[in-house]
Amino acid sequence: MASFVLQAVAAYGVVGVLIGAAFAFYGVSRVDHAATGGPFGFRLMIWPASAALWPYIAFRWLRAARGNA
Amino acid sequence: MSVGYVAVQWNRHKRVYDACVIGGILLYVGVFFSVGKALFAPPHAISDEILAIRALGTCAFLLLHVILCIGPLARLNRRFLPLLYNRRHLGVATFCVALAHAALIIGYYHGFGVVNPFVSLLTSNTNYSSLAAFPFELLGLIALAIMFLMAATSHDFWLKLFGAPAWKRLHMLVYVAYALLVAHVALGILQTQRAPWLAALVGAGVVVVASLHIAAGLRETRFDATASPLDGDDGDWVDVADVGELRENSGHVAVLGAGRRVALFRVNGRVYATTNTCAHQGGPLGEGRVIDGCVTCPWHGWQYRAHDGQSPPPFSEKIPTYRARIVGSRVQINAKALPPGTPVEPAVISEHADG
Repeated sequence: MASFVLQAVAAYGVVGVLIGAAFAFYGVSRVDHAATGGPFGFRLMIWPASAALWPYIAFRWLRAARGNA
Repeated sequence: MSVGYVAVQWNRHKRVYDACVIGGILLYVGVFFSVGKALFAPPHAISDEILAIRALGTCAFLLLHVILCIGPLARLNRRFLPLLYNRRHLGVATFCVALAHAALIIGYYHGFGVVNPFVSLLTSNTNYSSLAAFPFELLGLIALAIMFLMAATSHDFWLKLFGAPAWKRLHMLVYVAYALLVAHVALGILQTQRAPWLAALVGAGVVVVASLHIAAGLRETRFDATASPLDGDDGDWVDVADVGELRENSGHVAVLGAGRRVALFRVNGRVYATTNTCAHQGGPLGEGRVIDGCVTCPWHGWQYRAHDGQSPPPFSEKIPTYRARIVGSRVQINAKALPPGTPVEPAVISEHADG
């Protein structure tokens, strides 16, 4: 049971790290125009929470891509 | 304020604040380690790893108390406002110390076996029905996860993305983390050490945090009860202050009723009124000052023009404004808030009204 829980958390984390990185370094300006041209340090700062909250981030990103930020 | 993001909006005050926080943490851990070494000399010596675990754990717990006390202290006494200014950095520092504590524990107690350390952490103790042998580590782990979420979302980008109310609700989870950590300590170190002074110290911390919150809450409730709507033909107007109470270029908080507050500002013999709630983190604008012609929040320095509630260019934040008038020497405010950013004519103070 503990192994299953940890594997699920790890899978969530791996997906989160990838989606979080894509959002922080590419997609963020689609959701918030003030982030356009944001420095590397800013993107690094928002990466951890983007990874942890990736389902919400993916939802916001998709909504912005459909023109409804 | 939202014109382009940077990693950290440094200024001199924040550098000094952060230097004090880091210096304080290093000093605490160093003193704890040295005193621990002296107290636990052979044959009762304890390992450096355990001393480090205890130093970091107590440091994080102490820092969390400080964080929780800053809010009510700033409500009760303005002299504590500078501590509030950079509280987010204090929160991130607390998470880092707690993370170091957790990493040492997992490495020291669960890292040397054949089982995955995290599996070992979750399975080595499953006495959930026993108070004395409860797996208190799990409580600390959940608290750490909450602290991570708060530290990771502390950047202004997240405040804007979530909106201030949702961001504030998320960060209220600090109280859940605190409750979990009190239980973590009570079911952990207090069970193994059985030292009355240690239990008394933890109890005193809880009492201080709770007392300060109750005192600040009572003060706010009493203040909100002072609203005095006018009887008569135009019931939207509320009598809020005497002109003599308003100081030039300073804010004044007044009550409109139903828990709503308005911030009054006297600038060049004119009275302006805006909402008392800053668009940033809900700071009390009426406790701030007018700096460079702008209403300035005492919490984080966000600014708005008094006459229209808009942040000066290039910023774009807006807050609601209110219509003001002066009758005799009394300032009256129309309780209907105008949409954020609406220009409004100030009430002009006559020499007679000023006394």
